[in-house]
Amino acid sequence: MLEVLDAVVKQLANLGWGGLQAVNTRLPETASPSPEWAPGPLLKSHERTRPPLGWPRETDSLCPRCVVETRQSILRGERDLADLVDGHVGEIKARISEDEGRLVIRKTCPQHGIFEDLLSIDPEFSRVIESRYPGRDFRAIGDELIHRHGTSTIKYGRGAVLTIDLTNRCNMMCNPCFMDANQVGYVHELTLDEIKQILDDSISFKPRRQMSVQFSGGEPTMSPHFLEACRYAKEVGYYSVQAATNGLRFALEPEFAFAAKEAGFDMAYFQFDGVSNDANKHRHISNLFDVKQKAIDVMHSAGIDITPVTTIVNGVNDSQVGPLLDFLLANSDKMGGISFQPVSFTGRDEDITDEDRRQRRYTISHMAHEMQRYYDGKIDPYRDWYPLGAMGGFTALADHLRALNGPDQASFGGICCSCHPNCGSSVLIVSNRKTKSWSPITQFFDMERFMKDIVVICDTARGKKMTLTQVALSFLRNFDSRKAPPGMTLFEFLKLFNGKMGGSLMTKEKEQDWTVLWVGGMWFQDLWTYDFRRTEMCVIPYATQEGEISFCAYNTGVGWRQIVENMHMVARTKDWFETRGRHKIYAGDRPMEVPGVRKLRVLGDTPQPIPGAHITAS
Amino acid sequence: MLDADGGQLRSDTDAPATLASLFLGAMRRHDRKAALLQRDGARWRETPDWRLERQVIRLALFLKERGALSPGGRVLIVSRLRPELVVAELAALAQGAAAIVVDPDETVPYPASQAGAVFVADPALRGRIGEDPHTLVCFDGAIEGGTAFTAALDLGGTLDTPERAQSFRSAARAVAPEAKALGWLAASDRAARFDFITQGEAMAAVRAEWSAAPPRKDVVAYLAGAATLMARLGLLAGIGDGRTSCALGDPAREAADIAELNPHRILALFSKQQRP
Repeated sequence: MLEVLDAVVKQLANLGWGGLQAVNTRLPETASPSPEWAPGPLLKSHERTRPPLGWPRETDSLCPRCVVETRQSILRGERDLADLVDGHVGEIKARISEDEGRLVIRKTCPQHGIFEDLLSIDPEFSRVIESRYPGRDFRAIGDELIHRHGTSTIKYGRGAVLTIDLTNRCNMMCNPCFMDANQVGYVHELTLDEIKQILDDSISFKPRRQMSVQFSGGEPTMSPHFLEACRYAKEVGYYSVQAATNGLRFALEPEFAFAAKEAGFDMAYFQFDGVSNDANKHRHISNLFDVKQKAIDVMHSAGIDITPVTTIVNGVNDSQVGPLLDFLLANSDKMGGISFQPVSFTGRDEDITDEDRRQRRYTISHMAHEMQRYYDGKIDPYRDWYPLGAMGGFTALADHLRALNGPDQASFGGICCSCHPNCGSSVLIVSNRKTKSWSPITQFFDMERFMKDIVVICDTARGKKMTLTQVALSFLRNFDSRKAPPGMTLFEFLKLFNGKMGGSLMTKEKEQDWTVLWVGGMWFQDLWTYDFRRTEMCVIPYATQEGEISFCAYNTGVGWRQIVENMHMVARTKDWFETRGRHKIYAGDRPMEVPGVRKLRVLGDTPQPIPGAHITAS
Repeated sequence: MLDADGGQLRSDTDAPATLASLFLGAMRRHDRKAALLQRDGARWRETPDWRLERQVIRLALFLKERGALSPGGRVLIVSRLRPELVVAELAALAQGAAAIVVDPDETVPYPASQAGAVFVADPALRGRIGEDPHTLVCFDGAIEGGTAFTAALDLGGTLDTPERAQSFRSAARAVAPEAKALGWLAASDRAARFDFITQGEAMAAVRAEWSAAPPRKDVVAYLAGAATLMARLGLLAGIGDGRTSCALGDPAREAADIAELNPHRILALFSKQQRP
């Protein structure tokens, strides 16, 4: 009976949608609204540009050897910084092509020879991902003083997460560490005035962005200004205040978590490598998983959202992908998603041998197939994965709806992740916190058609009532209750969707039993995979004393991090310790003393990696 | 709310036995927008609990590292009521040291040698301290032979690691009710003598204050002028109840402050102050 009713509702929704589109095609498109925060009218789909996609294709890349040599000579004072900005140092052409069932990048440096690396073990997966990219966001205007880094300059998009390194000091000694924390011999630490200036500058041009800010480091909670920085970011209007943290401070000092929440801290982007102490042993703290569980408990008690972030290295911890996702599903009351980061060979890893690099290389396509294998097909690489940039489609709808609110329209554009489709992909999962039932959203919701419907709704740019009617009809016709997990009704799903869109459709309600979990793969570039078409669309810029720099140009690529930190170092580490006292560093494969550790749910108490389960390119 | 011992829920609401524990408890359990309010030009600057706690911890760490602050020691504060005085007093009390407050207008020479650390409101008071104290901190900027309050907090900020912060809390929990707590200048006959009440006696006064005026959410208490014993106890009771916001006003504009704030309680007025 319910199935019949469902079919009738869908049929009626399809008829309604078809009727409205018949009207839409007969009427000319309405001009898009032009909100105060934007540099112009909201973009229609045909006004959005796209980077060159598909293959074979040629792009601009870097020679891994020339860049390192140039960077070193600048740091030694033998070359000028201007060479880096204007000199096209180490830039060479690269070709992306299919080769024996894989996607590879090849480039030749006249001085250092041929370089080749793997981009995907499944070209069809990559093709599907690229096909779902909705197009770039605005080009920024008035940003000349912020974006000024030669060929590494960010040109497109409003950014989604602004990263600010508060300090390069850290209380751990990991290997690898992409920023060589504690090991570079100097301290780079922002003053509170510098932090405020950076936060002010980043919202000084159009599009005025509703960004998240992510304090990073080093360990950002070691900055004496962490709490004040959280408060200031909230005061000046940042949407969400996050920190890329190892969580040790919260485990060791629960009071600090409550203070941070009060100060404005919203979300921990939480270093988390596996669901056993053994899976974390490369961090050199023998009971690190126990410590992490304490940190999760404390942060959750304090009301801080948690997104575990895991660097995946092939042959090292790739077998943890499934168990980590299990951990997320089992603890979906405490965590809102998980971010997997396929390894990027940077920092000390720039010296990696070709053989080691080939063995350890892991891509998002590896991850998609590992999840398919681990869950016996429940997560489908071709149905369920979307580029991170696809979320820009939802932002377009949210911006459109808010712009129709007249004088009450938002003073900031919505968070818009419009990065290059090769930068990251994700799966959205609905999960019931009580029953623990879950499924990818795309199992019961036709996301592909819904995204196309959104394009139609935004492009035709009708009034608010017509827009909301179309959204409702699109929801109805794309939702399939027969394929939804038990208890996931259309209304429940609508509430979740509305919540993720910041309450654009109706009054936002606090999530109850159901939640949406974001399972993302964020693949940062290194010198072997570098593609300037990605850099110029970066949505997670590093904000520094030298302006905003693409994440990859900062940490890898040209390596702006070393340049900026050297320019603005505040002390030699030795002198710092002498004048300001040493901080404790947890290392040496010893356990940490943390009272009150409580075991969290794990699927099976001691998840065992499956021997040989990791997927290799060959 | 978490207990500092290990993240467990705590249900008892009994008043603690010492001011040090009262401070720890209030920082864990509170329900107010700001612990302190301070006149800042045309507006009232807020010090929320998280900021007050951090400043107290950081100043205590600075004093421990640079000022040899230890349980049973003494800290001399030459100032009227102001947020820095509150931070300095709490830093001392939480570590089991006694905080002696002397009014800047006091004509008796300040016996700085009897204190491990001396705080003065402004650099002009430097000449009246006498011999060089072990540690000298000035609330209003730099001072000869000493440290500016902001610089002390800055260094304390770097020292503020989780391990040191927890050691601060452990020390606070270990403070005995018998420890001398609040001191004042008892005689002005050119032979300065200090009187003290203990942590336990001060807590009895705090409890009496709570009985007389039970703490309620969003209550604003107003204080201005000299940091008399009664004013200090009222201030500690307000901060310690986790609900009251204590407004530290400008003695020169008490009437205007009160008209603007419309406080629920007035704990100290410069115009009506008496010595303890």
